[in-house]
Amino acid sequence: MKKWPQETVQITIPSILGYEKIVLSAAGEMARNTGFTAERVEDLCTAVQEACINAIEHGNRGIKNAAVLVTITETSTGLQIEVQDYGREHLPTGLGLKQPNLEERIAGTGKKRGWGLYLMRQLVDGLEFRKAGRYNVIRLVIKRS
Amino acid sequence: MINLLTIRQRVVANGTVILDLAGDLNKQAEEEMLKAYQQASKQGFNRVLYNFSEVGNINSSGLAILIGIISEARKEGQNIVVFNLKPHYEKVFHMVGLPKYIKIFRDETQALGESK
Repeated sequence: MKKWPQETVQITIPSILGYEKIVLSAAGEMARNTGFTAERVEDLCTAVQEACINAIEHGNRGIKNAAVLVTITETSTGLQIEVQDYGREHLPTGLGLKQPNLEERIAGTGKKRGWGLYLMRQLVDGLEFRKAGRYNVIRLVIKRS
Repeated sequence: MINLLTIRQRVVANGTVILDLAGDLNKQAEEEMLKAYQQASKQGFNRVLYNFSEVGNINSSGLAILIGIISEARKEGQNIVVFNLKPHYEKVFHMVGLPKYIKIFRDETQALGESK
């Protein structure tokens, strides 16, 4: 059941691993109070966490005082979450469309990382990467149920 | 805020060890995860059971660490088993394709009974 009026929330975190948990706590709380099912809250939290980690590690290359700006907006069907970084690494469109090759990774021949973008694609209803000036923006769209 | 992973080892039978994880499985957990696996491996255990009941959060870095361990274990002819995984993370493990390489059980009893 929806408990909160429609609002937008903005959170800024430094590029330090661990701070993404503040964002997922806030996004999870907002989702719970705007009518999301428990399963969708968990999907949202994992996807938002991965978007923030990507921004910290790649977009801002772990430069602590390079902020990650997260904007959470309620829509008629759920939430839209934008994660913005300083664009120190370019994000090509289509990232995460292809499932990383687990067989190669188990065999020790493939890249070790790369699951985050794939998980984001799997867990949300819409995922988009764009440039906004110098910034990278990842937009996640997730429905309530 | 960072819930650092700790691991306790329990020997349950010849060749089988349970690693009780507590905390978050993320990049910061890498050293602890590798140390615990390597120790179990050195001790000669060929079934390593990971208990996830006290794991709060798992991210893609944590998954990559686990995949690395599964890779090592397969080279050594060991079986990796996980149990007490929260339903959301069980879903994530399936998305990644892990059940092809490890066994996932609901709880410890089932894991001990059926992972032999």
